[in-house]
Amino acid sequence: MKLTINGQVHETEAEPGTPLLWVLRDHLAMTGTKFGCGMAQCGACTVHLNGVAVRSCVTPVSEVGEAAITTIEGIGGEGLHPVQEAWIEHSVPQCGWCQSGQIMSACALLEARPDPSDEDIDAAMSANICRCGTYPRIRKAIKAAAKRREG
Amino acid sequence: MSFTPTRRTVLAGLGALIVCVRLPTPAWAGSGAGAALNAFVRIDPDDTVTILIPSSEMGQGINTSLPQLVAEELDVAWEKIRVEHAPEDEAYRLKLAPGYVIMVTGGSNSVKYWWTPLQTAGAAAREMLIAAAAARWGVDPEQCSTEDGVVRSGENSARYGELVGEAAGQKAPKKPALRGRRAVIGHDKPRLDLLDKVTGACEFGMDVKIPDMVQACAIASPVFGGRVGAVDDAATRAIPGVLDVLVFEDFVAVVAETWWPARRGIRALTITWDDGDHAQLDSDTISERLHAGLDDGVKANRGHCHGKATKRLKDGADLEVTYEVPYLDHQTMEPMNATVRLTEDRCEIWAGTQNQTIVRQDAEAITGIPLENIDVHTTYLGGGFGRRGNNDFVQQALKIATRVARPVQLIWTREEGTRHGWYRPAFVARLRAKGGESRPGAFHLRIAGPNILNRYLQGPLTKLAMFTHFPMEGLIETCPYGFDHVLIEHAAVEFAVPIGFWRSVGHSHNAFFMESMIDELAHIMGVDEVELRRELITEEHPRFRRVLDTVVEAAGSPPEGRFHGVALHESFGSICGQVAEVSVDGGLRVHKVYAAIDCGQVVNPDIARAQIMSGAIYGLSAALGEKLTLKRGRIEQGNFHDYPILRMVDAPEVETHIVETPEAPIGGIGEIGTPPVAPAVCNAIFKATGQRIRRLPILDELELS
Repeated sequence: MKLTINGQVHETEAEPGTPLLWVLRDHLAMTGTKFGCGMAQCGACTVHLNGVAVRSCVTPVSEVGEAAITTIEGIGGEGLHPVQEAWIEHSVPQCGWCQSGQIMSACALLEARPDPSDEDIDAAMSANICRCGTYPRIRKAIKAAAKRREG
Repeated sequence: MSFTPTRRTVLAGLGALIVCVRLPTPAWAGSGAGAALNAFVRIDPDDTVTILIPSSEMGQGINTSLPQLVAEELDVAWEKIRVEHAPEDEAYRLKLAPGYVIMVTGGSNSVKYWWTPLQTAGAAAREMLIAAAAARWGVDPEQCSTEDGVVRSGENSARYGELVGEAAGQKAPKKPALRGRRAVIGHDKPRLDLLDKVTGACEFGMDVKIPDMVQACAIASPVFGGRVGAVDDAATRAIPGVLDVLVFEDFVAVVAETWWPARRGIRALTITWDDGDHAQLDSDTISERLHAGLDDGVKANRGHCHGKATKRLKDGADLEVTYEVPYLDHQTMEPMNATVRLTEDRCEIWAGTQNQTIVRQDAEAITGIPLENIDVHTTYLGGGFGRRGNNDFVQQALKIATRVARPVQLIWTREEGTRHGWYRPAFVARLRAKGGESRPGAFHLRIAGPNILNRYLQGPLTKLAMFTHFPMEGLIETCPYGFDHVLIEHAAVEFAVPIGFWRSVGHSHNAFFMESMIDELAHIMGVDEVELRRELITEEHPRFRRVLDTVVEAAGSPPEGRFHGVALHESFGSICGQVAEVSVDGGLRVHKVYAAIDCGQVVNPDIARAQIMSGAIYGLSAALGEKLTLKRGRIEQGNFHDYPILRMVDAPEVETHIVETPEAPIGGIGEIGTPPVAPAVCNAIFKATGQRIRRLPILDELELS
């Protein structure tokens, strides 16, 4: 099976029913995408398929087809995405386990809504759990990233 | 801010004043021109300073705050600092009690404990660099100075990286003087793990990849103490990628080339469990037995007794109320996992653990490899909160490794972690009290529940008050209230449910009891709840008064339609006051938590604020909706759909004000934000609705019209 991840084509011999998450982590050793719940409840495994945020823990790899997969390793291209820069500027991460998923959800939000309201942030980000409670800083960082993208 | 070390601050670090000069591993001592100057500081020729971290980084920012202690005295530019996790070794163990010396991260201890040793390590390294420079230039060390990683004397100057080889040959100073500078400590240095944590590069336990490694998933008896009976593994073995099914006394593991087939393989097993003795345990019987412990006829440990509380309450109480809190789980975002490479004569473990010494001892017991051939590599932890102080998951990985020829990585499912945790115990409390004009006439608080330490300590330590009083932590010695007639006691009620250290431990329930009860008393006495606290705080506790005043002033008056509730609590050597701002129109909403803290001195204000935000939201999540229940000896919850964690939409803003008391001993930061939030919110709910929440979680109790 061929997968296009962060602009590069990868071969995998994973069983078709294997969730994309485990193909990324265990077959391709791309461990930036995290396992949290296994049932699309926490968002730690969020990646983009053609720019849309999906939960890779419940996405069978066979359903990906030719869609372009973007993971935390590729979201910044050669450098850092404005969302990642804002995350650093606001010192968002604590333990860090959920942050790949938080960043992927935030990037997708800003593509859909470049200037999100608090309600937009609540709606888009409430599928991602952070046990360290970094939510207030995530909110600030998303707003800062929106400004960065504007400028 | 100027600072003179006082006797108290120096004493705060005693017990660990000696910086071990023995170097933990040959690799650490360095090769080529780079060298280690002591167990914590290594400098390379390019001026990179690597600091060995004895504490586990689980989000609390310890990989940044501990280097700040070293950098302050070493005098190096922050950009030059790198960190590595220390191996399990004598130099990195904490002397917690006589005979109890372990490398562990818990009790909000890290900065408290390493405050003096790490500043001393920095100072010692600096003195050795100066001595090397002085010898090179033939001058007196007194004539040398340092600035940002450079030693100077007159016309001469040399970078630390140039001097380190010679410095390593200098005698380590016995008592290096601390300069007491405050150029790094007390400043917002950026966390050293930020970049790796926003790019996915940070290596957690589950991210470890060992060549030729297999992966495993495991399931243990759903009833605590149960054993494996019969196993039908035919369907599991038919799954492509599955290599083996291993049956142990109390769990079954499936080993596969990668994790997904192992996980599928667990699901495909048909296991008959031998439930053992505890299959009848359920939440109702637990609650009944806890409440039975509130009967005055049941034997109890007295924590604090002053005046004549029981005598004054003989003719009845003005206020008699009962409180109850449920079992809670830590729910770290990274599920439990550990990786083991076991060869004939060596054992290596990679794990996000809070308890390295015990991991190493467990490895020796399970594998038979001698301790000196066992290495523990501590990775970043995807959350700890006390859970990763228990090594049950590492023990399983070690047991699996003894029966697999290749390195093995064990990963638990979320459900397995929920059903096999080390839970915050359920507790109950009863207050009987007399009112009065401005001071309560009597205060008799009895709590009932298990003593967590029973599971961790044996022998002479169990006779100490620190052991017997443990369930009452926060209610006795550190409680600032001087009641005229008071009795505080604990009745022990034990269950066959694993319990452990959940962020803030006993403070998590005791602050809820005490700080809700103070408000209840204020209400029946017809006095203001903040005034009652001010009245009760004794003169020996001016810091509590200052924290209370700071947070109340910061919160001001609530806007129209919102209500404020107050709580004040000391834990882990620090005081935290909070005001919760809530509204109840269209459902309960916690808009904001104002906090004030006094932890003595703050190493990194930004990290301290982040920790108070984190602690408060963690406590709020539990207070609002978290609850574990048991039925037929089994935990009923499994994943986030039935154990709800607070999400963005419900997250309040947290505004933290720092009050410093430089002459006070250093206090903890990681847990102190958790205890006050439940009572602060419940006190605000009472203001808003007149309903008093005496049982958690709130959302199970709250009745809004």
